[in-house]
Amino acid sequence: MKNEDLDGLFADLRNAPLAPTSDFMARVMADALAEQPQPALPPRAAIATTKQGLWPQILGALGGGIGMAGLGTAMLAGLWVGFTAPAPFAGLSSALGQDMVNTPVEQVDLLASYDSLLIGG
Amino acid sequence: MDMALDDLADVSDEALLVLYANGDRAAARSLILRLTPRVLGYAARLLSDRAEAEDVAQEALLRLWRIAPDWRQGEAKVTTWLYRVVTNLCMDRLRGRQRRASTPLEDAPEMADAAPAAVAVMIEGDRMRALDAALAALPDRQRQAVILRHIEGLSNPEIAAIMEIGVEAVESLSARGKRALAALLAGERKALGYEGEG
Repeated sequence: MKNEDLDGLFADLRNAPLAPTSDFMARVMADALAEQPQPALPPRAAIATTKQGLWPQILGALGGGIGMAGLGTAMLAGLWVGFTAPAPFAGLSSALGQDMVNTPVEQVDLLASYDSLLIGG
Repeated sequence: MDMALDDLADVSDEALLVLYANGDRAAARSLILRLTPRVLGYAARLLSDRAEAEDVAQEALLRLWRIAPDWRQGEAKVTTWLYRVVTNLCMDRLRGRQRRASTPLEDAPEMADAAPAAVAVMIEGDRMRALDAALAALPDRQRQAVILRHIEGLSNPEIAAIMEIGVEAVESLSARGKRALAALLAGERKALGYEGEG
């Protein structure tokens, strides 16, 4: 066997590589994908699905559902106090020096203590 | 977003491995298409058994996927690393075979008993199977050196890195292996289709 004959045989082997079967390639691919780390950035589709609208953002800023429930309760309580003027609230305004319920709006003195300053000056 | 396969044709194996570690699926496919035939072919020639070679190739590639996040570019070539892993896995299996055959390594003959099989195959006139059979008859280290040098086409320094020996030792193993192959195939030029050519 001459050296060049051997080189010819080596070339034959080089030019006829062992072809992997599709089944084997599928097994290798499955391994690669199973072991592959997740991307550092989420895919574009994932970002699109997590984008929020205006109302969900407002709701979130006010504390979500619980925050909105508290706000609604406070609003209804304020309306009820304003329209019905319950006795404890009327008594409190009288104690402060003014009958807020029976005094016309134009006669309400919002800065009563300011009079003394005008007199003194 | 994954890159198209065509975009990756000029990308090095090492850069593809970094892309793979960053979650790029196209890089995974490209690496598999490049590396699997080489790894499988090398393992098959070392083991002379396709099923075992597939197991070894799959295991070697699995180790590559697992090391990818820690891969440091510039320290080693992916192919060199893979050839070394395949070599070690194949040697483990060959040692296992020898243990099962109850033949201690130090008592193994310089030419293994596969030589008669090589001659039988040559009579059939199948050149490639004849060379494969003759390769199987070589001692393990000579077979590794000859396959890596003359069939895989690697340089001696690359082979030295894979086999973890010096370049001179690679040259010696390769030359001795080639002489042994020529001796095994001597007188079979006719069966190999070389009659009348020289």
